[in-house]
Amino acid sequence: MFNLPTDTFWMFAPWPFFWLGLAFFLYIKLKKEDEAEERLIQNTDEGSSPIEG
Amino acid sequence: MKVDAIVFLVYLLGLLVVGIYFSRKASKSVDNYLLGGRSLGPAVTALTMQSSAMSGYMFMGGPALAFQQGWYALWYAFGDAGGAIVNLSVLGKRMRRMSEILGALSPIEYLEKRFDSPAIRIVGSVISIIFLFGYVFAQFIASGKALEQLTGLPYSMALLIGVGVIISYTVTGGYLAVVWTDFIQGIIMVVGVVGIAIFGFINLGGLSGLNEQIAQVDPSYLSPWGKDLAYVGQWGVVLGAVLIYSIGYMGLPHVVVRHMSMKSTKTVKGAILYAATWNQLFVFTPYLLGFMAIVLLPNLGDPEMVIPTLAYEFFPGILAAILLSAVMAAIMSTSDSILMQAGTILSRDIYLRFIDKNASQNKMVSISRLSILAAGVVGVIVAIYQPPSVFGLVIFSFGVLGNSFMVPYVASVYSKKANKIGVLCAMIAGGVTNIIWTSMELQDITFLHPFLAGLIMSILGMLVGNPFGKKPLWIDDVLNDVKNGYNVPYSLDKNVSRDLNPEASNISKYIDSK
Repeated sequence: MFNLPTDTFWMFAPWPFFWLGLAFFLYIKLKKEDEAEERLIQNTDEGSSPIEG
Repeated sequence: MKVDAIVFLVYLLGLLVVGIYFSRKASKSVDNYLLGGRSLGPAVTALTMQSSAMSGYMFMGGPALAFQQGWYALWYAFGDAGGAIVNLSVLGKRMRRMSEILGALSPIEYLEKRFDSPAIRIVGSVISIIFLFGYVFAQFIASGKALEQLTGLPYSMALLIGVGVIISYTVTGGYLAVVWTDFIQGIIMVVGVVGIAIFGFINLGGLSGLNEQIAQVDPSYLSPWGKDLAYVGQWGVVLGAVLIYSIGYMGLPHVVVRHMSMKSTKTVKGAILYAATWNQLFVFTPYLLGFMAIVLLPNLGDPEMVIPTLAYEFFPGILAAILLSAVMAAIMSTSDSILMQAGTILSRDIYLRFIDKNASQNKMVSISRLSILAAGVVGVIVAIYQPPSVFGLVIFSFGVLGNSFMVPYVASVYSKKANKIGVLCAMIAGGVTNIIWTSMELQDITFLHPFLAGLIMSILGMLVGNPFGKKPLWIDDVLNDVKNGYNVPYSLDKNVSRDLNPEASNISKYIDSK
């Protein structure tokens, strides 16, 4: 492939796909975490706060 | 004046305008001057982090290695392409939260407050200043070389012009000028190298055509083990090459400070996507240009001049100007961040902490500006008189900083057991190992990359040192907050922890003394 030796191609070709895949996975994971955190903050805001007693 | 010099001049003026634009905002407070008021969104965070991380090395050292070793050089690029993803996902959210809770404005101050130890601040400041200077000298030398090629001026004059512009906008506009010029420069870097690479591939018959012609020069260039198979089976060297730029960024003070300046923890996820995309477009291309030089410039004398020579011999006129502007963009975006960080350490971690604890906001902004100016002037003087190789100096300084600080930063947001003794041992063991490994060329005997050796010793230092120290009493609760997010309304919680932290420290010391 691309006139590269087989070992060079298979050692090097997967890296960009691996990093992009990992970035998408982390994006989705962090988005879920942010949404869960947002819900927690909303629930706390709606409940009794120390200031309001 | 040549068209390429005019294009470049306009570019430099644009950077100065950015510095002046942000100067008023920067002067309002130390928080604004040093961290941009913690206001940066995902795109700016990603591009400033990446363009600061990708230095003149990417246009000089990287292509030089590709030119000399062929495809083996890409081991460095593969780690580099994921460096931001690792850095943001491991440290991003937690360090943003922790730094705000601790009220830390500099990465070294952060370590002192997190581990409750002035000794960490002293040792950390000394290591940072020495090796950030080493790093910035390399950038200044690269700047002089590139501008010498572009303008035809003597090296020292070219150096003064390039560095003069960097110092001017950094001193004037502070952190915001640095990150916004980095953002612009990040775009120029991608456009410059990708554009030239496309032209190169058209001329050489694509990647297949390039490899075919490289094989005719010497087939071992296509091997993953280097020219003449010099590194065959040396997995300790290959692993170090991948690790240095994939996890090493977590130890660079001028890069980890980007976590502290994000608008909120929600910035991290977008920044990961922007950085990952930018990296895959940018990181490999300078190395590919190095491969092209094997075919196009077989008799090149100075391998670090691969890209400037390619630009002038094969893409003259406006294309050369764009490519050399991209080279300068990489150099400037790293230099300004390092200068900013060196100035922060000198002003906040040394002056405010140990000389004048009651300095006013205005005085601190002035001291920061003077520190950056002083750091720049010293950098220029050394760069004029001691021009070593850019590649060697960057790898060395990067390695020592990474080995000294990576383990402490990661432990600071994950470990409940880590304490000041462990951190001091990790910093000193990691940094010293890298220095010894590099200066005594132990890689040739042990087949272990200096970064990998330093990393192992730094982890061991942390593990051996921890049993001899005590963690701050309040850290378990803070780490839970950092891990799980705020469990009280943000509007209420904001700044409360920061205000209470000094009191908590005093109580902790009082209890310890009993």
